[in-house]
Amino acid sequence: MDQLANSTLAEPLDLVKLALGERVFIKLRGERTVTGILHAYDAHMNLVMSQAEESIHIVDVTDDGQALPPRVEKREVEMLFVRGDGVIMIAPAP
Amino acid sequence: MDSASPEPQANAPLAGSPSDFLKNIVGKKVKVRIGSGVDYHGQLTCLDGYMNVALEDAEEWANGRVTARYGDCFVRGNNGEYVCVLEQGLRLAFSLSQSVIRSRRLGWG
Repeated sequence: MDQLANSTLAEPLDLVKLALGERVFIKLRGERTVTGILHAYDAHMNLVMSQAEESIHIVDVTDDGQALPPRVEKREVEMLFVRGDGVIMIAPAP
Repeated sequence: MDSASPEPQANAPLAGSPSDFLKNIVGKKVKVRIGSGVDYHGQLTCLDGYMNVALEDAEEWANGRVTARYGDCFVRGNNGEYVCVLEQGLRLAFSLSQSVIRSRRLGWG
């Protein structure tokens, strides 16, 4: 390990541990993203988040197969449980 | 952790197991492709037996463009298709085992 910051990172899950209590950005299957405060996680990447905002990225298709410009549908959830198998990526929110 | 790169002999076949390869590329700049065709480029901080990956200074690439940057990023292992070393002109790529790819084709993955 050449960097001091990395010395606490023995395994990838430690990165998630460091994000506990912080706002995180999550990419999920089905073109969904969530930002929220991370409260808990486990080895499956099941997550508990508060003040979560889910964004669903939708591309509508017209009857003749033309893709319309993508649109984003958002909803806010006070407390959210995310099942781990849907998680693709987790990063501290910018 | 030993982060020395594997030093292949001139004409000898590459030896070592896939997990040796993964251990040896920690700290290098890598490309992680996930099933949907999105790539994550970044410095490989660590990985585990599920092939969960932690990247530093990560870039998200889609359709040949950078679509996002993250200082740190965690990629859940089941989404990974392969890990590829970008540094030092090494053209080593490690694919997840064929069985995993086959099982995905069969719809198990």
